Amino acid sequence: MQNIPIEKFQITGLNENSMEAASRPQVGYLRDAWMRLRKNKVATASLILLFVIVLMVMIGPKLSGYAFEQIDKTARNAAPCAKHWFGTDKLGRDIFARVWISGRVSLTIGVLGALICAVIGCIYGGIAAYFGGAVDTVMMRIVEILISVPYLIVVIVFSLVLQSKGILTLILAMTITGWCTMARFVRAQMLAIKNEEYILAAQALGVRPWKVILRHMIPNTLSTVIVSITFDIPGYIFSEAFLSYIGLGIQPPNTSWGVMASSAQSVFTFYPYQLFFPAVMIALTMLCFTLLGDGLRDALDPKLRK
Amino acid sequence: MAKYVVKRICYMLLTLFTVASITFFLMRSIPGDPLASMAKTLPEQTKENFYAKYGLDQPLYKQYFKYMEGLVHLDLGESILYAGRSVTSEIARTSPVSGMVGGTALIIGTFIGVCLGMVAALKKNRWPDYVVMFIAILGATIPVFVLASLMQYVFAVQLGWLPASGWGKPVHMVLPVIVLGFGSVATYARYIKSSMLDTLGQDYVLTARAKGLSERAVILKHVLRNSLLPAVTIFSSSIVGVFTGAFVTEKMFSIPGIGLYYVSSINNNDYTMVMGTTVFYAALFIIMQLVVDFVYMILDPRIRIASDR
Amino acid sequence: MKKRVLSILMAGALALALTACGGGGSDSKNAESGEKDSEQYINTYLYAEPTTMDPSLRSDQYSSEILISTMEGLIRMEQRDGEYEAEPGDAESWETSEDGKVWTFHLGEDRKWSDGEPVTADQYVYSLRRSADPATGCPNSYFVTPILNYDAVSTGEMAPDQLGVKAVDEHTLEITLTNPMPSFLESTDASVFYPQREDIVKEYGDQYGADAEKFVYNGPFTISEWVHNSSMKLVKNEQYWDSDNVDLETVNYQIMADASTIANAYDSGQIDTIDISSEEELQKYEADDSNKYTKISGGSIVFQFYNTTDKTFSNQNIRKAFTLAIDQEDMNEMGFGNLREPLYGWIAPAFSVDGKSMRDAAGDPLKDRKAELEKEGKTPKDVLIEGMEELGLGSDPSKLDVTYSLAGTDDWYRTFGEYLQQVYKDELGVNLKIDFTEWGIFSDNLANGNYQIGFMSWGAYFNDPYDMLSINMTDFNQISTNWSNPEYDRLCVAGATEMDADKRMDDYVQAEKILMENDVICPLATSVEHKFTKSYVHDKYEEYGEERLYFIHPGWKNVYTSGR
Repeated sequence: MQNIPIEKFQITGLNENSMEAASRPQVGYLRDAWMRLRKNKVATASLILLFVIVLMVMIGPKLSGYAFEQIDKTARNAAPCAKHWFGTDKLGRDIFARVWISGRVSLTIGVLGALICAVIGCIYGGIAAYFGGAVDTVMMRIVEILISVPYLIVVIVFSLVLQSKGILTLILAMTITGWCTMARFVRAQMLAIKNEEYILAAQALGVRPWKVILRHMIPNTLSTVIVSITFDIPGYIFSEAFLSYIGLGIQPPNTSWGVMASSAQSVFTFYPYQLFFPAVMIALTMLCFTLLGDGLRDALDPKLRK
Repeated sequence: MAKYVVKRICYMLLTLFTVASITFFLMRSIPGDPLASMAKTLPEQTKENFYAKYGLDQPLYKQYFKYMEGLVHLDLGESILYAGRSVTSEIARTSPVSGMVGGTALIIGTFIGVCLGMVAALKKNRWPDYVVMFIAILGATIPVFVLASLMQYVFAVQLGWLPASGWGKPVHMVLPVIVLGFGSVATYARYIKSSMLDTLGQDYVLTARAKGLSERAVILKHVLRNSLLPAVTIFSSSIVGVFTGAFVTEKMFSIPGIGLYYVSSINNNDYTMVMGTTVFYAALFIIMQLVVDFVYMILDPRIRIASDR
Repeated sequence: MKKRVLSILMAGALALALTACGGGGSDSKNAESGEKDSEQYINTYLYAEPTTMDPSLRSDQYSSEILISTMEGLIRMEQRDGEYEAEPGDAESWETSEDGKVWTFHLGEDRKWSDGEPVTADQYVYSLRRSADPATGCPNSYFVTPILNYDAVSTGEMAPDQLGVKAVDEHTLEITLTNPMPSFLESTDASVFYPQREDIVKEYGDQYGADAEKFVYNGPFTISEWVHNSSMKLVKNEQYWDSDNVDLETVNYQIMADASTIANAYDSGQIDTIDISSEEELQKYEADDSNKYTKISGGSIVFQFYNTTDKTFSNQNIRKAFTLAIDQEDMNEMGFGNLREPLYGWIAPAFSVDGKSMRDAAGDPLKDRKAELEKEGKTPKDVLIEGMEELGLGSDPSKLDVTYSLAGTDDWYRTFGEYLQQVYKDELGVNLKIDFTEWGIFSDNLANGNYQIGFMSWGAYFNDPYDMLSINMTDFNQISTNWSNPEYDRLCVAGATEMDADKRMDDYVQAEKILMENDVICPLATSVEHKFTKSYVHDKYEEYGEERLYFIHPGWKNVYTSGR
């Protein structure tokens, strides 16, 4: 028997990552989810449609040959025709061009707003639920206070303090207390998960708290969070319209779907198409996000794995 | 348990105090003068008297203490815009109206939403699921003002079945309840479906089935109860929404509710009215929060255990 | 003499929908041969909740509309057979002293309150003193300003009982003015001139006028039900001195704030009148024979104005360029949906001096100035560059930093702002910024000189050009242009106190000329109210369906229905 020199051995140490990974490899989880998402025809179709909408929002305004802000006295309130594919509004502006320009603002606000709130809400709610006790009490008390200050006042004050009406100001104003709902929601969900056996097991193994939150609690809350995000996106798009309505919305000449819809509402019996196009864009985008969210939920749920 | 309740009530008062303070200073930091919405030029003396009447001539900290003192006695002051109307009486008058419309819509909408959500979850990927989800998406994507005008146009103008707007008779509630309830149906159908699908995959459901419980018993006893959990959180904020958030609906159907009043007070810089309503809104919210926590304890045995520990 | 502003209306589309809704005027053409309906009622709407019925504290047009039907002042301004004149109210007759300073009103002895108490001169005196008293905080006290000693009373230097009003006997009221004022009689139609009962005011204290039963009425109707923010029911006042001539038994008001709700309610027969707010509605109802269309002109206009203390807009050429770049016709079509009428001078066509239209006498100053510029072969852009060079701002308009402030945040203002951006980009090459704020913040900004160009509406309650001209006087500076011109100030005061009609007209015309030549303001359009009533709604003296004029909503006194 050959003698193996001691130098050939090496102390590898205790790798916490690999200890954690014993449950399941994370890469595999995501890849698996992606594969299952692709098998879901509805979700795939939504994803493609969303991609088309995003593409149109980027190149659409160039296609009709009209600038979105160009007014035309001779073509006021024109119905959809060969010249103006989606018709014109009361200042004779091309609705086709406007719809896509609006989409830029609406989509940015909807998606960014929902994501920011979801991320902050998850972290905040997760921490509160995980630690419980005094931490939870203090954190939830803060949320309660924030959420009890009327949204409208917060937004008005912020847009006045920030002295601008750009897209980022709007998102900031909308999310400044908007994440609270998500935080409460995540906390409630996590409180239920917290007592699951696998969390106990992880804790028993000495896994660090933040890792338990990140690796176990958040993925397991994810399905409900995703559903919630798909609902928050229309929420933010509508909030933006409401803010525009009270004059705190996006600064003209910029426009959004919400702005277009609310401005067409008063004349919708006369010019239904002016309401139709922005409304359909809102509905279509929401439909896609919702169906995609459904697909994602199924794909991300470990229990539905085959 | 009693200790827990007392503790929660103390927190509640603390929260209320903080919210009232924040609102007070926020309102004062918004530019604009409550007198501006009336007439621009008043004789100097008149202006001073006016300010004195509402204590607006005092240093800010004095105004603050005075306001807090009133709050303790449930005296929210007098409306600046509407001479001779106390804020407390205005809230007492307008909130039941909102509560009635919103409450009816919420109860009916939630009930229908929960039922539809269950149907969708149990018949997943079959036509009832698609129909329900179509309704849900419609409810979430049509702006309220569009839905309201459509309803008025169809049921009041074209068919003449219902009044387009107004308040006082039960018939006036039909359209606003439909418009408001539509949103609830959509929200709850989606949440219940999602949460039921989650629950259906849980081990205890499997166990229950394995025990040989009838499908009906499994759904009612195990699945539904646990699926209602996320709905309860939403419900607490929807209840507050009932009293505040229905601004557009109240405006379009001419309903004399608190939401309409609140927004117009903000626009008119009616300080006392805005602060009073805000504090009311906060109180309501915090109480609802308390209720939700208790309901949670009843619904979810796991939390009950956790809080006992 | 400080006579003040009149109603400040929020400009724009809203104002169109807001300006007084139900209708009723005067004039007895052939009130269509039909029989009067046995049930006499009208259903109509208000755009917002009236603030209070207290004539000394109210400030909004909604309470004004209700009060005109439920109260009686000294006179009633009514249009009869095309003439807009003072009809007797509580006063049966009136006369003025030779110097025009003392007015004596003789009250009818049969005038009663809704609780049966007689109406007396003392109650008028009490009411005016109450409004002038600074302790009351009356937002409409400017109507009282012409009265002797008002200034001293309003600052607290004199007691309210020193005000120049006196009850000579139970039924004779004497009002003494500081200066003669030819249009004083008309101004007494305003709600601050209504009588008030000291016993009722004392009884309800702060609550006076806040509810239907906390008030007392002496007009054609009383409020029988006031559901706040929702509805109001007026019923005929049997105690009213002229109740034999009041046909309507009830007037039902609903508060409706949304234009499409109002249209839906009108279409479904829920309300009998509508003031339309879009050109589409105008066309739709005009084509429908079951409606009568009444076009009503009044004293309010929309205009833009410049902050003359702003660095950029202190330069007259720059102001001139921004004024002349506007095409009033185009703006009326694109911005106002053809619902207003283009205006080229400061005074609306409705104003007259002793029956002669002031607009006819003064011509169209803005049109002349545009023609002049064209003759010089220049464009507004050239003028702008001249101005910029004078200020050392270079000669590239696209680098000029200009913000246009709008006092409204709804959809109409947004579209209007976008229109302005395009106009100034096309005409001047300027990249205009638009600032939208609520009225409260807007007026704060004006007062602090924190704006460059603003847009506003201004209206008068009675027919005297002085009411419009005075707001630009140095002492008043109502729209914060911070502009001052001694000659202008002199002409305004001279006109207002001049008893000779021709001289008065001349003073006003000269004053307007100075105002226009200095490019302080740029008139844009006159406000026009487009009222539709169902064909069964009639007015005794001035049938619906014809153009008419009024400064204050005429109320429901002369209205009846036939063939409902």
